[in-house]
Amino acid sequence: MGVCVSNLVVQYGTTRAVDNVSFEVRDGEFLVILGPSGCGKTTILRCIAGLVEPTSGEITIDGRVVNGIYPSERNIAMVFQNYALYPHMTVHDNIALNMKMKKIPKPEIEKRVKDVALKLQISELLQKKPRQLSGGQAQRVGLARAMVRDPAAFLMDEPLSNLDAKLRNEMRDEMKRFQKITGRSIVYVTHDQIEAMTLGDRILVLNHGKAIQIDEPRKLFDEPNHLFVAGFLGNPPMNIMPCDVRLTGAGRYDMKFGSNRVKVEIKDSMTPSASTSMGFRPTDVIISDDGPFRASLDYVELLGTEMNAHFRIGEGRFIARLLRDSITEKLFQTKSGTDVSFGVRANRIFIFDSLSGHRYNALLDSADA
Amino acid sequence: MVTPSELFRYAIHKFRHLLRGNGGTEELEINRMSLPRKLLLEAAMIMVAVVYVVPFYWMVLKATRISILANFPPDLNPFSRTSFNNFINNFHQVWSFGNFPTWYFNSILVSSVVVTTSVMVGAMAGYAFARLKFRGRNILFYVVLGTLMIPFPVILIASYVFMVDIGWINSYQGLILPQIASAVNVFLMRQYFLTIPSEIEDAAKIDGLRPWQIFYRISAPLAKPAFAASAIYTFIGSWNNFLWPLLEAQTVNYWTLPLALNFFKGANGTQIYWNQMMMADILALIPTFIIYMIFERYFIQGISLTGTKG
Repeated sequence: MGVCVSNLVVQYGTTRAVDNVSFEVRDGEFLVILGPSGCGKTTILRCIAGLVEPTSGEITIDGRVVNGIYPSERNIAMVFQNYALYPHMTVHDNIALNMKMKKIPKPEIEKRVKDVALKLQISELLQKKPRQLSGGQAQRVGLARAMVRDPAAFLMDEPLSNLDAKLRNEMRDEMKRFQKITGRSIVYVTHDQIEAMTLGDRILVLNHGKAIQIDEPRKLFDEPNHLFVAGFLGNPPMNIMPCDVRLTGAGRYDMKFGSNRVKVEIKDSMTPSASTSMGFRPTDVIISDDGPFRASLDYVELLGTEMNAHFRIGEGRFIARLLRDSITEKLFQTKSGTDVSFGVRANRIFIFDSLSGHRYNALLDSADA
Repeated sequence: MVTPSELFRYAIHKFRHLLRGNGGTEELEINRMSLPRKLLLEAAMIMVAVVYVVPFYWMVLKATRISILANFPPDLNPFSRTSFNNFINNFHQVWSFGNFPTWYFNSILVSSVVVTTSVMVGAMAGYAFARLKFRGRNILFYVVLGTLMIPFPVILIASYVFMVDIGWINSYQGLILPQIASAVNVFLMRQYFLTIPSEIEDAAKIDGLRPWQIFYRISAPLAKPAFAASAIYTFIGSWNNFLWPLLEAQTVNYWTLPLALNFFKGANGTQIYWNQMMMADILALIPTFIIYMIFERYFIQGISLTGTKG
């Protein structure tokens, strides 16, 4: 059940806004579609809602193919970034409109509006007009309007983006609670990775209309299978260093970045001429005199209990996010341009194909400077 | 120097104060002005006001005179006992002159039908141009806009001949129909509908409203200011229309007020019955005045909406 999207393509003229995307939202699952602005995530959502007619591909909701079916008959509800409440109607009428259209008897409508208002704590707002509401209240009304229909799936288009930072945090908890009380599938579009990581049961990462990776938040962060995912998630994102590659034996390669060398065993095939990148997270860098790598220190930023140390290796740059301790504290006294030894936590180095973005299944043999 | 736009904003502010006791968005800007600047603006306003008010005063004054000739020295008080009696007398004469009540009725009928249909057509066409996707939409829209650039006198003869050919000379439909097509209304409505976030209509689709229901339950109610503005301008245009009824209404039965007013010039234009003409003017102004009073709020909005002064 839930929502199933297969081979979805949306084409505007010569540009493909959505390029052959397939995924499934399980019953009761909270799926986040994450990507930079203009990557087609909202278009996918609008296809599911029936507001955009896909060029090709099939959409199934609750086991029923819904292509060509009018939005209101797809058994979905949508929540919008700018709330999209009807400005000339009271909150009550905003929530009740879809039931009125379905000709549900009045007492039943009243009961359901009251019910949902109670659940979302907006009972005292029912007689107000949308312009009298704060952003948080307006979005709660938007949620109520969606919830009152008891749909098979909720579609949410950046519902928290118009709220200020503090309210956004509050509403994030609210969204989690919303999922629990409704128990329905939720497809949630956002460009905010924190929102995606905290809310999603699974995250679909999208770029240029293509699905890059769909996984649980933890796996997405720990085992990105694509250069784009690695460079998009995390703050600061993963450091990507271009490497020179040399074949040394069957499946064995020498990778050089600056004066540093890594010996790896790559299990899937790789052409030695391919341009390759090495990636590691700023939090996985360890400063230590017996570290295998060397880089020249650029400058250090103090963040509080942590610090960002910026390094250079030849043309490349990377950041280390370090906890302040007796060793790292010395970096504050170190002159810019000084060579520093460092290492990277075991198994936390990733090898990517720079062109396709594909991550190689690599095993680290040894590393030295 | 006082710029016209500054004067305009100041006047609107003053006007709002007069009507509602609050100065609107201009309040802050005005409060920040220095006293000499305010006095300067005040003086400029009084001058403009005099220019606008004097003709009205003269109209009322003339309507309270019994003779068509000017006296010397002139009696400038329109509120004396004799003035009042003359005023009533003039009213009786005008009201019983020719078919005056019929002309009045004709004007009201034609204008109200023109306003309601023209605004409805404009709203629906404007909505279609703003929201619906159909083949040839842009070309059609440019055609509509293009008609804005053709002055009415250019198509006057053609319209007249057309009316003759289909036998609509001396008919209400002949008076009304050509005035309904209004590119201004279509354009105004389209622009306003474009400012309504399309997500609201998406939400309505998901809530189960069909396109036609979205138009009349959601979008049209939200476009009230545009409806009011185009209604006011259409009314003024139709109420004051002289040229078209002059050609179209060739028998007295189909005359509208502007034609009637012209009639007080007397046959051959030899003698002008100023007092009765001014009396008729006052009568003709009453509906405009009432509509203005009701829609004052929208009237000012309408000015800012179209960027022109009717």
